[in-house]
Amino acid sequence: MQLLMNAILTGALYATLASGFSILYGVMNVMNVAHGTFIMIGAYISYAMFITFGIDTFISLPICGMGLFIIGFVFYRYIFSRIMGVGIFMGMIVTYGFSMLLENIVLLIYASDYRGISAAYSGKYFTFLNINIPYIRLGVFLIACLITIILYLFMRYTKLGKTISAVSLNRYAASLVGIDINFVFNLTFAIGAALAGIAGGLLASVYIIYPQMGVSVLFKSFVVAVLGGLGNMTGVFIGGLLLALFEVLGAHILGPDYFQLIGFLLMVLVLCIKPEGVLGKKFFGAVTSKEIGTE
Amino acid sequence: MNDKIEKTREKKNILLKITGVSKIFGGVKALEDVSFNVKQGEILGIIGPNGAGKTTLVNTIMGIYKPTSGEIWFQNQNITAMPTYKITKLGMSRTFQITKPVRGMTVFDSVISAALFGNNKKVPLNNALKIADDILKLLSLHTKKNFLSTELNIADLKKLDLSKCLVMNSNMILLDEVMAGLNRKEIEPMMDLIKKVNSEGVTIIAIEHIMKAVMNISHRVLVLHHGKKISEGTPKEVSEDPKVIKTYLGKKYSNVKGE
Amino acid sequence: MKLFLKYFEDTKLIVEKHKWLFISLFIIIMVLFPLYTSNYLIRMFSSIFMYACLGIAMNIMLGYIGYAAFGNVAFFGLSAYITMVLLNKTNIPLLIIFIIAALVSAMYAIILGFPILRIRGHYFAIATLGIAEGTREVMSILEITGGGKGISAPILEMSINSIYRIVYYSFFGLTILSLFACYYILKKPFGYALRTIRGDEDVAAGVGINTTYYKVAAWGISAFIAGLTGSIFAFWMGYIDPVSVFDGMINVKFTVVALLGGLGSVIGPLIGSLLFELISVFIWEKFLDIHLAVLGIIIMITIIFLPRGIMQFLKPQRRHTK
Repeated sequence: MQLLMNAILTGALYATLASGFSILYGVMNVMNVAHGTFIMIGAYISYAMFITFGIDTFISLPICGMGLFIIGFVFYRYIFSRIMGVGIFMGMIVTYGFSMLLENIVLLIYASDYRGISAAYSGKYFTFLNINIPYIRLGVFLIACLITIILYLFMRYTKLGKTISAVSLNRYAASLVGIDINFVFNLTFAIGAALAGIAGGLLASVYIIYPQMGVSVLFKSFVVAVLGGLGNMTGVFIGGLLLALFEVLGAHILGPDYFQLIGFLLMVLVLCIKPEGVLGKKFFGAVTSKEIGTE
Repeated sequence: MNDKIEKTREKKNILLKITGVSKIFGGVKALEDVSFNVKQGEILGIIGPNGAGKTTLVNTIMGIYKPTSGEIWFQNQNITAMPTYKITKLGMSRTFQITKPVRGMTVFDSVISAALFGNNKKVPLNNALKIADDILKLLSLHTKKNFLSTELNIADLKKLDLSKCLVMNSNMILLDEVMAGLNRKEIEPMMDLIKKVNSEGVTIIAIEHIMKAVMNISHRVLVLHHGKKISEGTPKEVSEDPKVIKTYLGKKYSNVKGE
Repeated sequence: MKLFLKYFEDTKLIVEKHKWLFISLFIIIMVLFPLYTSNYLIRMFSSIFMYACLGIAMNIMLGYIGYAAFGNVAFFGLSAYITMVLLNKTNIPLLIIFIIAALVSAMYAIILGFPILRIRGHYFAIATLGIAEGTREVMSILEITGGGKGISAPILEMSINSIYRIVYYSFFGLTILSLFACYYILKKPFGYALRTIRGDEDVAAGVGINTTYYKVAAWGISAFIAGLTGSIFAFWMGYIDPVSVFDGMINVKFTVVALLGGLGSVIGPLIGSLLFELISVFIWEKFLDIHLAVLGIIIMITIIFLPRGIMQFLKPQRRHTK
């Protein structure tokens, strides 16, 4: 039972981690390899706020989001937009280059060691039905859920959100109706980055951070996004829960060594069998050789 | 006794046999219980409004989609679940409604590729080069042979598609809206080309939207609507079929004789 | 300026015409190279040829057949491990060990290829990354491979100079062989199949190409080359562990090398590797602190302004009238 609770708490965090990645793929068909690095920067912003100003991690979340929003916006405007739509892997390479740049900057400021944030209420937890629930994790969980809900409402009910959805469903039709695609892309990229930033901030409050963490976080995000269906926002949440569940169960049964491996095996399995993920919705292009775009 | 001989003769003449083919995507019935035969050497026209399932039919015959039910027999072989490339090697090829220029390859290379792999036996490179060259000359694409496929206009792309089918020595070619996108001056030569190819013994299924063209060149016509076959017969018979007039042609075309 | 361009074009045409002459010259120079230079330069060029090989392997997948096999390092590492294990536990001659290790990698790719190559585009790329990670995990768990601590090779009765030279010639030989292999692949029907698949997989099926066969074959060849490279690397280093042979940086490096050189070309990866190594060494010496950043910036610039790699400049322009 404790395991289940752990899984749920972690799952929501995973979902938030992956949401930025998923939205970028869904709307723009872009694999943002720098996603992990964005998360890492969000985490460090949170850390910096805590160390320098004593601001609690939860309160610094908006700052993380804002910071990454700006970074994402500028990056898209001046760099990414130039290769948008040229080829599938161009985006990956450019974002990879950018992530190297970002990582180096953080390395210069904070060096390669591990940092952690210990708030006043760090170790405290409460017990409910024989299960221990640390306050911090509960907080992270609640915020993660909140973010997911806000995102969902945003995409469905606000004008901007609906515009973005329109572009993701059919780029050409959207442009015909007068939507400025480039601006939407720019904004979406920034939003995706901001989501990563917020997720990073959340991450910093429960995990140890280091400049190279981008890679493993990226993989986790990817697995979650694929599980739930790339581009599918509700799927991301389910994907997060699924991964957490499998990890917890797997580690319990097979031992902690297999933690990472499980995620990958799961993902590769899903990709082979049902690439659209559990709730799948493909936005652009075919996924496997079996599918052709239907007219 | 005569009946039996007649029946066997008919059987030998049937190149393509579609029986009870349905294709369902999610909840959508793209094709519903479609059955028809195509005789060797004829041109069968398939018409129908947009969304009637014409391209789905081509894709299903060619093995890109697997039919939800029904069977497809070609040259007395069951090709229902066969992968596309095998069907191609058996002798059936198609053109694409939305032309698919092959990225990064020249016109010449694309045709060479088809010549190399599309016949029932692997063709040596030298032969393939010559065959490709000849066909390109035949279709007046020779001057553009070193252009990238992506640099061609629509009419030439359609001819490129057709060139590929020809170098593969296909017994049967499925033309998926080959006239689409051609202007009035380009349609006539294309129609003549199709007739010429047919006169060399190639069976053709022409999926079309442009009435004048399909009624003119087809020996028989089949009408699809909402995934179902609603009429089949000579162009005259079909254009006079009240079902067809009601759903598709409209009074204006009820006297089509190919003007 | 115009005059310069004209001379440049003419030079390109001359090189093109007499390319076999230039190639032979190059081979002769590089063969004699180690006799006249320092160990430092020999190591540097070993590295250049190593990444050239990896770049070629990557080029086959990304450039010829259009599948982004970002996880090719899996084969590099797998072969490295197999080499080490065989070196430690058997008496099989070195060359045979290399070939066995590479063959195993090729088999690995072929077996995995059937399910994985059905996946397309981005998904395929990440799936291969998953394979790389997964292979790394497995290597660090197994007893026979020393787990997370890695394996060392048995002490050899050889001077360090001999080792360097063996490694140099091995990488060099592999590069030349692979380049010739690529050259012939492209000219033969196999090459046409690959390029058609790259252009449009559905059209490829429509012209009778058994796409699965060619995709798997291409990956097998790519894995074989990457594997051989890994074997030689293991021999060179004398000690390997999961982190060093499955390093993400290796992945990035050989992808950049392939891109820099120009996808779809033959010698692209070699030139790309040369350029890259020269730039890296320069950066390392002047900008150690920010070498990651500079590298990242170079990657971004390359992709934006030179998407077809350096071969864009070096190939003579096709001339056709429109």
